[in-house]
Amino acid sequence: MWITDTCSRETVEIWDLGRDGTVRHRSVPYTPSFYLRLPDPPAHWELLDALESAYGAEECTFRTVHGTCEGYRVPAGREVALAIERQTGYAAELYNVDLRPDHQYLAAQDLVPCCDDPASRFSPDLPSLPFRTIEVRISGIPFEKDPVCSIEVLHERHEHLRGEEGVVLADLSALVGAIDPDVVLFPRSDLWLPRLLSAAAERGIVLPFSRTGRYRKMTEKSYWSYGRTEYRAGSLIPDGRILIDTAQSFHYRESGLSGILIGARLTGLSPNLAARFTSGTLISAYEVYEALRRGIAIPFRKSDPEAVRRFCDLKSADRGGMMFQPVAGLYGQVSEIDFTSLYPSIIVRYNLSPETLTHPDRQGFLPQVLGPLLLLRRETKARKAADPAYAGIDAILKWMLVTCFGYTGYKNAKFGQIEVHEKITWHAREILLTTKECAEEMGFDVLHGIVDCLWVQGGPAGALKAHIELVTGLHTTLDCYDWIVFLPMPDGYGAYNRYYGRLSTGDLKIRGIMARRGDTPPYVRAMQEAMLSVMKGAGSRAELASCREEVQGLYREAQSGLAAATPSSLAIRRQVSQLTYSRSCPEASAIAACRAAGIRVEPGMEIGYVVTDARTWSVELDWLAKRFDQGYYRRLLARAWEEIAFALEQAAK
Amino acid sequence: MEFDLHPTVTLRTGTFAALLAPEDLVLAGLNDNPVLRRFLFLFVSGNYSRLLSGINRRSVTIEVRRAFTAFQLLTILRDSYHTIIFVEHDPGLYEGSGKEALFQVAQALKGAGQNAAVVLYAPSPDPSFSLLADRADRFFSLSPPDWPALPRPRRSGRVRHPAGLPGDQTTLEGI
Repeated sequence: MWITDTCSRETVEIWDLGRDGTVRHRSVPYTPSFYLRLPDPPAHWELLDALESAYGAEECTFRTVHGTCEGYRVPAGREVALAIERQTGYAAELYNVDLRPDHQYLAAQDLVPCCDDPASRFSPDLPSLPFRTIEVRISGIPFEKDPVCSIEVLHERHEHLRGEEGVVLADLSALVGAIDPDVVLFPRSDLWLPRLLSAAAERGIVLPFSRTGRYRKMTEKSYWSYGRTEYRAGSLIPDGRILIDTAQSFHYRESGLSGILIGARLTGLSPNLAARFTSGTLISAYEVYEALRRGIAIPFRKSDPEAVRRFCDLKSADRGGMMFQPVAGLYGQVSEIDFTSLYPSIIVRYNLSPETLTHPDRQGFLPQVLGPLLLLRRETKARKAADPAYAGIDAILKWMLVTCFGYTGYKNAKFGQIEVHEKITWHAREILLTTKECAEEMGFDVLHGIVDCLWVQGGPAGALKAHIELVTGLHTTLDCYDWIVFLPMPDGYGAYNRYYGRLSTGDLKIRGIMARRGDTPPYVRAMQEAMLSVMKGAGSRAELASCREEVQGLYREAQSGLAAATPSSLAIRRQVSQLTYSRSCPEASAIAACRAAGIRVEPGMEIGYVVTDARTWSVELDWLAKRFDQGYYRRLLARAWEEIAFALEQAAK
Repeated sequence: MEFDLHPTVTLRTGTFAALLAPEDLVLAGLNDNPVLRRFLFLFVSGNYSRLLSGINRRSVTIEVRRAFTAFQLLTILRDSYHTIIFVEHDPGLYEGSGKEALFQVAQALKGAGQNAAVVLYAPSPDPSFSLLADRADRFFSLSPPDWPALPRPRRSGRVRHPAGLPGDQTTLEGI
């Protein structure tokens, strides 16, 4: 049996899928407790008496990552914990307060979602289960209020439901009921589903997306992540089925269904949540799940600050990642040495965890739980090279491991501490410096370096890779380029993060240029991709120089064809970080256009718009746009061409 | 212990003062201040300090602790043994922690101010700063020359207090 969905209401609800395709629903009574530790229990004897008489609180010993604590187990909920906090003036230490009961239950019972046997949790293999999967597609704009008169359903067949809205909804209801799918892939379901359910309810039709008729509501929210405002739309999660908004789920886009199933297996969350949560929340959930499985209590509040230190010590410790700035230009026969999951590898190798700051002799919690994840990533990365089916699993592991480092410095991280964050970056800087010295000692020229990558020139780098792995004890990968171009910044110095080149495999690796950026209009992207496709055929500097005419022809073609381009092909998609702008800008106009169209905008939302007059930053929403500012888009094309022309000019030198 | 952070801002042990001032004025008061070398000075900031990068590490002997949550700030204030505690206000600390935590921090600032000179600093006011400053013994507001003029005192000659200040609080207007 596979656990495919869980949630908690008065009881913990679990849906299992059997190998024969049968679905079983269980409701399990479960009342979680939280732990309480008081610095001076006698000072709070009245509180303790009341907790004992009202809730049955009892003295106990419990474990945290820092060691064993004497405290109390209180079989009550969050409200009681908050009252204790207030009453003790935030002197009480509370644990296991804000956990999902279903998450706690699975951990306590050694149950693992999407897994036959908990022992195989860290296996990259997913057995083929009799998942009944359907894909629901609705063409149209969910913000428009028009009736839904056409829905496509893809399962064993391709069904196209058409007609008056009531008929379409009735057909959809019958079809979903007949198929009884386990997985529903539905682009923009977070926007469509509430509309469909309400339209169906008005007509007395039941849409059986939920196996019990009930839905969990996930509220929308804007949040700050990695320096920008993000937005998560609200969603309705049906009971007992996996519903994935394939257009909005980052993890589905990056990892597909297999990645989400592995994410659920590792974190102990239902696939519905694994599809909707950020990578940071997944790694946090994974750490919490691991801690619960090991009997370690999870702190409620982040109240342990960094230690007192001298100002000069702080300045030397808090320096971030190391960079070596490249000289802008085109380089032939370059090797890129890339440390695999460098930061988590450092956590594991150097035993970095909040509790090991004061007790370096102990085996840290973070290294213990990240170790198996790292090994799994290494395994999937190796398998991916031979079998692309592992790409999705590798991607979700990559994102979880990427965020585990940032999480050590996150203010609400349950197992984070800023000194751990600083120690990780300190080790990373030392490792990159050591790597650079190794390369130079072996006669290589170091062209560029970013935190965990080094670009060197000077011959085959296999021996260098082996030497670096020996010296650092860390796993690396090696990519060899026939040529690579580091683009200049406006001041002429090389940009750290804008480069592209042809690998010896014949593939292109592209970073930071317009073809790669999310806000590039499709028309401009298509032009640059076509140019890169031509350049991909050039194996040397001379061949690159010889393709200039052909590539420039593509630029001229794009410029001359611009007038006939459709406005939707010129849509720019950007996230708005705020709702009020003091200056005139396209984002401000896009927000105004959304409001005019009756769409409520929240910070972090992505808006698609077409610039109709760049002088006044007038825009129209992408799905309503009828015209565009040709001058503005000509300039975008010119900018995309400049990124390509630089390489061609360098090749011709 | 008593020291001048600015000609119009004198801080002394046993008080919790709230200070609104431009960064350069505060940095000028912290850097090259001989008094600050003689006493245990704790600088507390949030994740993004506006002042730390401007402090001359050769001119002052300060210790630093950063708080990323209101609860960490509470711990810092309760643990502190310093003579001067300078808290650079970070409204981000209170996001999602509730008004009760803010009230507790105000209490802790006031409590720490019984044995030390405690300064809560912000370059500009915000709701959480105002709530914390409500509990301060003294409130200083220094405006740079290009700031909009502060409300003029009434004709009666009484100093106009910023909204919400308790009546026994001394508010000084600077430059």
